[in-house]
Amino acid sequence: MTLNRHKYNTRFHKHQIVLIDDKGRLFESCDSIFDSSEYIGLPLEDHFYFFESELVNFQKSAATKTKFEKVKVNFKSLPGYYDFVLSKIDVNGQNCVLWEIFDYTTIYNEYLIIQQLRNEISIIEQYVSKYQSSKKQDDDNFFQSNFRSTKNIKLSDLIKELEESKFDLFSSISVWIDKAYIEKGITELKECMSGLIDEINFFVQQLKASNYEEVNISDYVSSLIAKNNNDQTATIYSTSYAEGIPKKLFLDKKIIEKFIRILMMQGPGQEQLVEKSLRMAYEKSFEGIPFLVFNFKEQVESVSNLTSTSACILIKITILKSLVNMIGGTLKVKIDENEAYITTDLFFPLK
Amino acid sequence: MISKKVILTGSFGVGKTSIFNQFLFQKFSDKYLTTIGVKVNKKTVEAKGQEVSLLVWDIAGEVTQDKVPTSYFLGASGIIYVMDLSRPLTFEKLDSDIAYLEELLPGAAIKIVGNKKDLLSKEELLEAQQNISKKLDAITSAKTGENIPDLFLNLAEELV
Ligand SMILES: Nc1nc2c(ncn2[C@@H]2O[C@H](COP(=O)(O)OP(=O)(O)OP(=O)(O)O)[C@@H](O)[C@H]2O)c(=O)[nH]1
Ligand SMILES: [Mg+2]
Repeated sequence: MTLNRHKYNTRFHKHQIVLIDDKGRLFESCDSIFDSSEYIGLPLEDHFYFFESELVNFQKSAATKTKFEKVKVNFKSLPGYYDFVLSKIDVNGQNCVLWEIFDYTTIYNEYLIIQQLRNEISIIEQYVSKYQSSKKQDDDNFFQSNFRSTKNIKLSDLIKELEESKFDLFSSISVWIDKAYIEKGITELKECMSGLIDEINFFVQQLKASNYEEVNISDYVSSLIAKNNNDQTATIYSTSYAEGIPKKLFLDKKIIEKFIRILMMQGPGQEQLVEKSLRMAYEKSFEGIPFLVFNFKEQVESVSNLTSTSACILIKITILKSLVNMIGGTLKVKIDENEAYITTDLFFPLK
Repeated sequence: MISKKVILTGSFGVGKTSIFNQFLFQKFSDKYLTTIGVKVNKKTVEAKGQEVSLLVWDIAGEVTQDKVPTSYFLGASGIIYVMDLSRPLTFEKLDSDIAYLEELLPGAAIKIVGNKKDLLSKEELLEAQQNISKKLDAITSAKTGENIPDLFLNLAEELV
């Protein structure tokens, strides 16, 4: 297989091979992910701090191959999240390094959303249990001092933030101080989050492990050596990459239903006033893709001020919104200024 | 110039990225954005009259022993172990994590840091320190920047 053929083969797999010489200079690459022409012959570490330490570390170590997962680097040509694999290869007696880049930006971005929510929920839980075990149970300022305060923030502004995907759990927690509610909510949320992390981990594993094709690239390496005017044979080297990376992660119906249950959960102080309506249906698109539509309407005490009820609703909607973004659905939130209702419209594609 | 690899580790949400951003860019944000995997950056400092390039690895806050790939730690000369002084759960695994790191990287300089000082009163700070099983090398606030430059300078001096 020649260099160009390798490029063709991996066009859809987002797998790039870069050969680095014994001086740490970029020697050659198949350019499947980034165009290496401007770096040829230059020390990589000048543009790419990762190699300032890692090339030396790797050359010094006994390992012949090492892998770095979920790497984010300060390098304009690689703006996403990647897995890097470094291998030692011998080219004409020179100790070169083969640097493989796997682009998993899409999947790692999804992973990030779930990890974010899981961590936030766990941090809130830690504060709540600290609050409960402290002598300061009646200190109303406790949450204000531990979380970003949202006093004097208008509900409609927060909903706008939500629309722009800027809203985070912490910004509303300071008014979300009903302990019983938090406890109940957190237990359920944590269960959902660990379920989601499991699901994503499984997906990532599948992505990386199954459907892999062993590709012998020793010809490729030989072609590099030939270019170097030498006819020695290269170390036999083979690598593997994912065949046909799935485009999207789909969530299981069960998980989505769990989230909906949380969304429906009673908030503090809602006993007398709460009025809710829900419409939920499983349908199929023209292309036969199953999806879930969902319309949820909930009453709040006031639309102009942020109360614990509306904060609760917002927290729940924030979580759903992140998930919906992740799986390519849509979520729209409206507030009815006259009747003090928050309406959530959801559309979820399903497995 | 000497290059040294320094790793920021510790539980999630303790302020590793905030310390990193405060050190590199003198910036702080209240908003929490979790890190996945590792983010690599560098800054040059002067220690004992020498230029030292610190390659800082900001890694995701996971349980050190079972989640963080050992390849991240390979060749690190310095470790900054960060805890959130306002969340006792983040100091719970200090002993076992440090033991693990010492075994993995014999000879590496380890700095144990209590962060988010600004959130605690004097009494709370004392109470937190009593609950931490090891002596803290630095008490910082990534928010106000307190003790952040010193933390890295002290580490750099120890490394040259
Ligand atoms: N008040 C205060 N807040 C801080 C301080 N340091 C960090 N934070 C806040 O704590 C939250 C978490 O900070 P990060 O720096 O993202 O934490 P991390 O350790 O990188 O978290 P992971 O990447 O998830 O492991 C953010 O909301 C920060 O604004 C501090 O010194 N004082
Ligand atoms: Mg971080």
